[in-house]
Amino acid sequence: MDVTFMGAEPRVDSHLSWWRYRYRPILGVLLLPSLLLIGVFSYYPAVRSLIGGFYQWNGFSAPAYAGISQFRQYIQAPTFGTEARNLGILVGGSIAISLVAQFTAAEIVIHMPRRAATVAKYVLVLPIVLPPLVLIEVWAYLLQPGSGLVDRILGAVSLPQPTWFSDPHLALVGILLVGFPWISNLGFLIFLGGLQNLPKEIKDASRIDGAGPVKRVFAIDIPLLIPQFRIVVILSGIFAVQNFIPILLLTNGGPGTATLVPGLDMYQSAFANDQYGYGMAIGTLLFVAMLIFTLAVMRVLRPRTN
Amino acid sequence: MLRRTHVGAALVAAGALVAGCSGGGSASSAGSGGGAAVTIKAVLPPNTGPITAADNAGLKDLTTQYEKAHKNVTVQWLPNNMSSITQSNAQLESQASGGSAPDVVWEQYGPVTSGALPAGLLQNIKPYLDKPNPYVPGSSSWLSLFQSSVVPYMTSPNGDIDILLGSSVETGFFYSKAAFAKAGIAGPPASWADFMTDLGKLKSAGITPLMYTTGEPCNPSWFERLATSSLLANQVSQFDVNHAQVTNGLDVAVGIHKGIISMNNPRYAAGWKLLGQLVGFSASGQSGYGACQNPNVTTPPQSPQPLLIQGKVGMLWGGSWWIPQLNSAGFTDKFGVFPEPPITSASTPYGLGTSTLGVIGGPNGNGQWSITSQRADSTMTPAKTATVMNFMAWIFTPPHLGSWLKISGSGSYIPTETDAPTVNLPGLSSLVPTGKVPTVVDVVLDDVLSAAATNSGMRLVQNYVNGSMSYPAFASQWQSLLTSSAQAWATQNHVDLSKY
Repeated sequence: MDVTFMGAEPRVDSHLSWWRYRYRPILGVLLLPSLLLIGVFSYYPAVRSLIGGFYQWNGFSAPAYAGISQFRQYIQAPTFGTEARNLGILVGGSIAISLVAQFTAAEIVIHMPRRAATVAKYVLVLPIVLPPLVLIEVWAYLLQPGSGLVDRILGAVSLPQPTWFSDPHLALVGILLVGFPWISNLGFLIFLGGLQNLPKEIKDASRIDGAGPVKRVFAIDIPLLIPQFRIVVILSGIFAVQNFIPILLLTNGGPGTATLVPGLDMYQSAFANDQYGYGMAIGTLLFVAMLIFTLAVMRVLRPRTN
Repeated sequence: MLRRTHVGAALVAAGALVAGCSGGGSASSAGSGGGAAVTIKAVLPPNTGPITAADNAGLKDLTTQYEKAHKNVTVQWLPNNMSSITQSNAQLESQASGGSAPDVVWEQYGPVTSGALPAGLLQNIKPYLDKPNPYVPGSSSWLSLFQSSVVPYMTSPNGDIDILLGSSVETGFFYSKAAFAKAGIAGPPASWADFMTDLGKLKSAGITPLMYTTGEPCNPSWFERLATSSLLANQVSQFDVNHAQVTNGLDVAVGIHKGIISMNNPRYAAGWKLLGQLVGFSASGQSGYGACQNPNVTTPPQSPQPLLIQGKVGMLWGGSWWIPQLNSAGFTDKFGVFPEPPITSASTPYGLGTSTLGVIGGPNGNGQWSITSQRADSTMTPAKTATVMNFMAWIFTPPHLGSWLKISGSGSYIPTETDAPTVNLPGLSSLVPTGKVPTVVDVVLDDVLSAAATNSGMRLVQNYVNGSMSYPAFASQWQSLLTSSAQAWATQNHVDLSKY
């Protein structure tokens, strides 16, 4: 390890060095339980499910080797295309929502007077502590057909009252609406942190060059925040794939297959249909798809400097 | 270096996806039955809350009495939050794979006798039922206390009995008296054709005639059972190889193999065409509601009962347990109920006019329990099984069964034992069959072949009912589902269908 700093010679404390050497095995032993627990509860299940996709298993009888047949079965299933399309819409929608809503909110907050900005930050961030299940319950009520608040408002102004979660054309929109206005999220904090750390000299220079607020956002803020955009896109994408809980609770993938996504199919195959091997095969395919997505985003949104 | 770190982070993050599929399985272990003390872990009827809840007061009293008389036995009742047997069985299999299933589990006769559950998960309790119930002096056998019509529902194709059935429920169409009066409908329809005419009258009167719920299997599986049992009544002997009251997985697989349960058989396909006609009168948003949901459920699917009470629909298809629920919602005397009318040739050339009274209902009320095997529940030694069955004999003593069911279902559950006291709930008697019930043909939507087939079938029915799928597309995909599910069932149960 390089211990020099700004050309200065390191001053080695011989006592500290001896202490480190003496207690290194103890530190290793202290770390062992954490490593063991992570291995057992995180890495082992992940590796186990990679293997499990090659076996047919109903959860009770002995597993039977099935080769790649379950992977092929999923790709050839009549619902595969619909699931891929629904997932694409949800991932695309979630990313667009995150980028637009959270970046816009961060831009607004950063340009507010200091005291108002502090209040706005707390107000916008506090809902993060709301349990997701409560949020889903709230939206289940808001979008309840006929008697929900949204339909009541629409009815009061003589507009059609959609059935939201049970209309095959609107169900995905309903799922995307959960969490509106989508600001209270990690992405907002990431953008806010990035904007707060932009070099003041560059902002001043752009002002002197006559750049207006809109031009500054597109010419200065967005290009300099590419690393933040990258991480928000990746996190939003992964979250949209993993978070099938609103779908499970609000539509169960229906009506029909209108909101069916691979994550829900994976869960239901394993835990409702007793097809654990098939569920693990779907999980493995999802893992590969998300890996490709992540690498592609990192490639496309890599920092470009001259 | 930075990029490599990010790739590593991405791998770890995406790896969580895979991990999501391999969890599950309860780590809880059943108590030891060793020594003199025995703890019985038993699952309560679904959605009745904990043992201290008002619904379970009768069961709690009986348990307390039993524990006082048997100082070495403790009964630990476990709440049951499952709304579907499919979901419950998935959890059971997960627990059983680790040998930690409860001793007494909630079951339904469909998955137990059809072969949909893995073999060896439950115990054959027939040896206990063949002996007298120790709490009924003079009884020749415990089995003889059950109504003779119930025993076939409990019996598996190999003659084993893996389930106790405590009470029956029935189904029927619940209507708003005000809506019927407004539409000029004098009384319940005598045939399916009359029923369709009444739906038309309601629509003409500006009333949404019906909500056909598809959010969970209740209405779809009821329709399948009604249509198939009725329209295939003269063909059932060709595939009913087990000659039981309800067709099981083998019967259905044979029926599919022989092309009788097939969309290419016009008699079978006619049922699904009738469903298409029904849909024209149903309120939209069907998948947001489920006929078996509790009225207090807040996330979809919700109970459709408020729609009837609020006058938003004229009719609903519900179960006998609705009677006390609608009464307690203040709708007493404002609703009527009639059983599903027979499908005659006035509706389809294949209509046989078979009475379908009791075809959908049956011993599916509260008090359906199975006893797990030692493989599924490591504590279930033969000695503990004997203790558990002694406790079950106590709560299945006819006066006891009647007393706790009276509290549990507010009188809507009909005890399955002859001498158990019943409650004469107004409206209920019209739904209860008085004569012989025809052979019940369950096919896809009642977990007969597999849970996977039921779930896939439900998606197809939802698409068909909400208009996303035309009849030809539905027929094609339904036929594929029938064929693949029958084949999967035969493979899982090591059955050669070509022998039939």
